[in-house]
Amino acid sequence: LALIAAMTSNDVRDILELHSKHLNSTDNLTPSKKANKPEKEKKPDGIPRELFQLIGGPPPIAFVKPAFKAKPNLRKKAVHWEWQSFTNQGRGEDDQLTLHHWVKCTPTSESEDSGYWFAEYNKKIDILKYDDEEYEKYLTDKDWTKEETDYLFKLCDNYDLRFTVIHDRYEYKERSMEDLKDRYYSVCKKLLQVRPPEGSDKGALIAMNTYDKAKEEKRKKHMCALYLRSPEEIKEEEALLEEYERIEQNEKKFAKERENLLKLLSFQELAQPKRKKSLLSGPTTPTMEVGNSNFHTSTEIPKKNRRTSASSVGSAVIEVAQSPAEVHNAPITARKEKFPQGVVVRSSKIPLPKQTMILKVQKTLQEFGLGPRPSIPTETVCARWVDLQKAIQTLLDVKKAVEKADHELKAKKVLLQKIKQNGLGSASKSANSGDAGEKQSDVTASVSGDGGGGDESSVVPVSFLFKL
Amino acid sequence: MSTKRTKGVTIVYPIVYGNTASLLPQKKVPDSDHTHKWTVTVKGINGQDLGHFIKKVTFKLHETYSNPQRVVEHPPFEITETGWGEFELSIKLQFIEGSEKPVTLYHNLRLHSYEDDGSISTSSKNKPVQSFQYDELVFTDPPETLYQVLTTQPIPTLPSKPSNSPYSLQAEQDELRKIDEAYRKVQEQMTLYKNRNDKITKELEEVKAELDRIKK
Repeated sequence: LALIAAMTSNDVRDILELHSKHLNSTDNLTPSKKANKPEKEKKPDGIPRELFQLIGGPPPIAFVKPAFKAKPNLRKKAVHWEWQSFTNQGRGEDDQLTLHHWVKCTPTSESEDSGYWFAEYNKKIDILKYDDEEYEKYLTDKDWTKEETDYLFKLCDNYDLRFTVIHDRYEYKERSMEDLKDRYYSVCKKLLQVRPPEGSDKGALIAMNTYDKAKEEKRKKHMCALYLRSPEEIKEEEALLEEYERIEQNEKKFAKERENLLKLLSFQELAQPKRKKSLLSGPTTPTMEVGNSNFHTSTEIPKKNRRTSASSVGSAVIEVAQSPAEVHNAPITARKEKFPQGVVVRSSKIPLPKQTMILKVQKTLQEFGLGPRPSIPTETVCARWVDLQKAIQTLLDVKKAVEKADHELKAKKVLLQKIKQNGLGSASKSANSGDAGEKQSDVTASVSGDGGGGDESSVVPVSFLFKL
Repeated sequence: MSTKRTKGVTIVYPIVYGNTASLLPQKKVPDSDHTHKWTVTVKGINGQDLGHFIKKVTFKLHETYSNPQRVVEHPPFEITETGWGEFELSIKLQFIEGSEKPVTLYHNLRLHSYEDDGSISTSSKNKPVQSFQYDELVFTDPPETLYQVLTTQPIPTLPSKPSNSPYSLQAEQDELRKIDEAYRKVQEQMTLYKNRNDKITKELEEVKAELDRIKK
């Protein structure tokens, strides 16, 4: 950078306090040096040197030459203005009100021929007009006389269907704005229906002229109510809406979980009653077909002896077809085990539970004194093992779901209490303020206790509502 | 050309595999690498050897052993080694019929005796340690050769009472009993939870109905 000053010999001398080299020079520094040395900008104290060198200090002030207003062009002659009278064609034909205004006299303008230039903004709506014949045929109404209908239509025409104005100026009978609108639109609709169709889409025109009086009245009532809510009411409504949304969102989740739960439970139920049947008959039970285990075909083994031990234990879902001794003595049978062709190791065929559940299932098995695998994996043992594993998994799932449902229930209960207490809180408050004295306060305490669920719910902070 | 398979036939052959281990008497210089002597075997449940249908067995030991893949091509199918550490080894059985895929068994080598809670027991160091596993080889639709061999030679059956091996019919019954007991308990719990769930569902409905009413 140009701002870095070079260390010259004179500077060195200065520092070392030596005298100047040139003996015939004066003590002052020669001016020639100054020309080379650029001006050092004084850096402000606040910022480091490098930063200042980057930024370069404050920007130069832009100088704008003061521009004065242009001299008025006084060369030309003044334009001539004329005081003219005019009538407004937009006004009705009844009055011929003449007003005056200044008009510029330019050579091109024509005086008074084009008419009042604002008259074109007087747009009129062309409403349907009926004649007496049509009225007699289609438009009679028990509530409306022809006179009144004509009056209404005249007003509509005059005030360009601005019903607020029409309703205000209406001086016939006591009618609400909805009444007027209703009558007008129904007349128009009827006329459109009976008149021959024109080029444009008749259906659309009719649709535009349908007016549902009851709906409109209701809507306006709601609007009023909405507009007139107090701020507390507004807050309350918003809070409730939020709650509702949250509940809706969770609803689906909970409903699904509950369905799964019910399904699981119903499966278990299916297993139990069918037990008795399977011990007597041959076919496989439904639970057999559900699983993917390869051991379910053991039920198809023709029954010979029923092991009393199996029935006494009472929970065998699989029928013990033959005594294990017989099974082992006759391993060569036309069994329909669902193994693929080839050799398998029996214990390897036990299906493992889901990844997340493996540890929990193992722990549960431990509690029953069983290891992670059966110690003697024979056919029957493996089959029962698989069923046990499945049952344990189901149980764990059910447990989790029940806990969740329980939790949800508790939360909803608290919410209910809170709402109840808020609702009854004002009642108990007013009762309190009305009468001082112990008896009254006891009564109110009991009132709030009954309604609001006692002190417990009042301790629950409001924020809990929003944790659901 | 593939050997014809005997359709609709399933043959079950029970086997026992595992290891025994004994503490080597410590000589003058304790050699930490060879504290135990162990033998891994694969046999029939009554000690029969399986040579009639198994062609060879490949024992895959820990990589710190030299030649970790030990192939044994004739019975008895076993490996004896010395070492200090317990590890998992794999036992691959290949059958006389090449078209049948080999099966692999896994076994955790056990050198120390353990208490019930899993801790190493410090007492009775003299008895040899045993760790065996019963399993069954299930041959589904076996090819001719295997079928021949397996039907001609008698297949061992579980003895009714435990004798020198712990595997017997009675043991099986015991296990079945345990399993059934566990199953019953699980069912009990299930009913409990189901009842609880019904109660909760009902309550939930009530509370929800009330909330709806209040909302309106």
